[in-house]
Amino acid sequence: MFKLPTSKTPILYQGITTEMGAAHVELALAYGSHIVAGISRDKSIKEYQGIPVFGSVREAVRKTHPMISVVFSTPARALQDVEEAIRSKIPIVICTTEHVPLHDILKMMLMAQKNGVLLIGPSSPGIVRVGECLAGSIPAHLFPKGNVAIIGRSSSLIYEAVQQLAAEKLGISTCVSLGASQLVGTSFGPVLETLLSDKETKAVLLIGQLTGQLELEVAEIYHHSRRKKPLIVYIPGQTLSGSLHIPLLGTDSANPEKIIVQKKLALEKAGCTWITKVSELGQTVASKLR
Amino acid sequence: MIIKEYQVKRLFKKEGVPILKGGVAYMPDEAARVAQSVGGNAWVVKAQVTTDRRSISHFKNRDTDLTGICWANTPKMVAAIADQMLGNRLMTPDISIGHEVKQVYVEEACFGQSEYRLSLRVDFLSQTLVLSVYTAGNIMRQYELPEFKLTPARIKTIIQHLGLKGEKAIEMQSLLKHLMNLFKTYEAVAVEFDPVWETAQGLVVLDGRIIFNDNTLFRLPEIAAFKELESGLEREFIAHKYQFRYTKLKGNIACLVNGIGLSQATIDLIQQSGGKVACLLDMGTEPSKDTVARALKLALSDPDVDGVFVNLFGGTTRCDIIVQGLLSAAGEILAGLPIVVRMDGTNANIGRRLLFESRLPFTVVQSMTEGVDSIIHQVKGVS
Repeated sequence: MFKLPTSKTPILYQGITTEMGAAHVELALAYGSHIVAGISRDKSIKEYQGIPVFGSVREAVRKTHPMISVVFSTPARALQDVEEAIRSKIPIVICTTEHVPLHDILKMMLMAQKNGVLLIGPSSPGIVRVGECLAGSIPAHLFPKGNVAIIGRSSSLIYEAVQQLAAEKLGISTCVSLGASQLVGTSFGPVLETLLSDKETKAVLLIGQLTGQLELEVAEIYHHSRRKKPLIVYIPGQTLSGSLHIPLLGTDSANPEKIIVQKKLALEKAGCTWITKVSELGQTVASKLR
Repeated sequence: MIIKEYQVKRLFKKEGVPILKGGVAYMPDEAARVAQSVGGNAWVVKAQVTTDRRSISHFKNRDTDLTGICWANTPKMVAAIADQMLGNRLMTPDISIGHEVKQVYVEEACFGQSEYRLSLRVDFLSQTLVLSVYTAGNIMRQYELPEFKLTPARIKTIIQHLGLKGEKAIEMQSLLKHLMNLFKTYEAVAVEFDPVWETAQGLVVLDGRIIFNDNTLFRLPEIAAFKELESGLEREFIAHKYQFRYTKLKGNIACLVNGIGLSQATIDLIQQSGGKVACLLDMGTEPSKDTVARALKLALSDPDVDGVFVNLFGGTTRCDIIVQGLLSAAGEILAGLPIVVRMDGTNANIGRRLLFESRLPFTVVQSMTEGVDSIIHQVKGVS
């Protein structure tokens, strides 16, 4: 279950005194996020920007009851930090770290699943509920408030979409990025279901990824929803040929062209709008809302 | 990252995988010496390149009908074949210019028949671990391992499916364990034993591959060293060192982009508009000045590149920082190839102003579409 954060949702920042963590926690505070605690490896730090800092997630959870943890870590330590958050059963864990080793991601995914924790990422810039709450490293200052929700993988393309929507005088209600690693924790499903029933969202723009099968689940969910809100989908990599793919035994079906066709067919059949050109993100969403 | 057969075999040997006797050689006479020390009266000479289909691929300088894998009956013949292969280019189907051969692997000849192919990999479609077992006749069985473990019970099932008993069952069991050990030790994306032969000495792994995850190399120094060894991978190596991702494609426009999604979308827009992309340099969402400078230099040094399209979105990264990186590669920029820059987001205005003030020959555009049209138009003039 994914619950949309509000200005009252208590948030923990792990790695609050790292360079990235410190920079982004300041932006989130300025945005109005309710940050209740931080974690630092430096045991001598007890407070940062008025936020109490703890030595362990367990202690922070006991004293401040966060609903979301945002993890700022290094590739080498990300697994350990995420595991600590999962063990403390924080309902949503956002891992912002890029370049996390593949086998560490496998371990995180398995552990989150077993503990019923929603893991977003790794390499996710997080969540923004525009005008209310920022959790992560999304440049929320670029997001005008409105009624289009964006769910995506790669962050750079999400920001491109925001720009194009703004040019159409459209704003954003909520944005969630799952991260662009080949393997990620949560799929689009839980987030999409929440957004389809969110009163402030009138349309959903979903920016998928060539690899993985997450978009097929999206088609399934949308097909079974009442389909009252338009769902517009763009997947980058549509012209990449088979040459990019490493030939492995038993992966013949992993040909990029085939994957794109398969995803497009499934999504269109479910009633989604498919976008071919990245330059048409903004105008397509606008046409669906008119 | 993929490594060559002789490097793979070094790792197989360390793990205790049953392989044939053999060794690597960089010179023809060295190849003959390897043959002598391996012993026997027939050998196989194998060109070392990071790709498969070697046995059906020919060489660029075709004085002979040699393919990437050849049979030899005397050490002298081993040396003669090595002489033809070394320094030549093996024209495999994956890339038009082929692969330069810098080493050969000389192995004792083997009599038997191909029985199995085993593959253990992280499957990005099902987001789990998958073991594939092929038997002679190309019949495949796939096993999903969602717990990332190959349990004794699972191994027993596989052996039952294959109908193996006695000695052979034990050998297969040990091969499967080696496969899993290699996968875990090297935190691999995939490990394959392909093919596995049935010989008088039992099951032998004739060839195989290990595909590594670049994000793991920091804790696998032994593997990272392989990467440095290969100057053929020079561009990939520079990219890895300066923290960007380099992908070679087949066209003439280089794309410098920050972020994987925007990168792929940019390639799409160029190719949907009639252009062809030579290479992609994905600098990541928050590149440093140095990363940007190195990426631009690398793009301009590629002989296939007739022009560069820089497409940036400043989110948490500031566009003006990225522009400083572009400008620090100024020496190369004066080489005269067209460079089109589109940027938006945080501090884009400052970035554009810096580009104008530099008086360097950048074409600064307002939108992605305009940028794509401009670069396609300009490279037509070059080529």
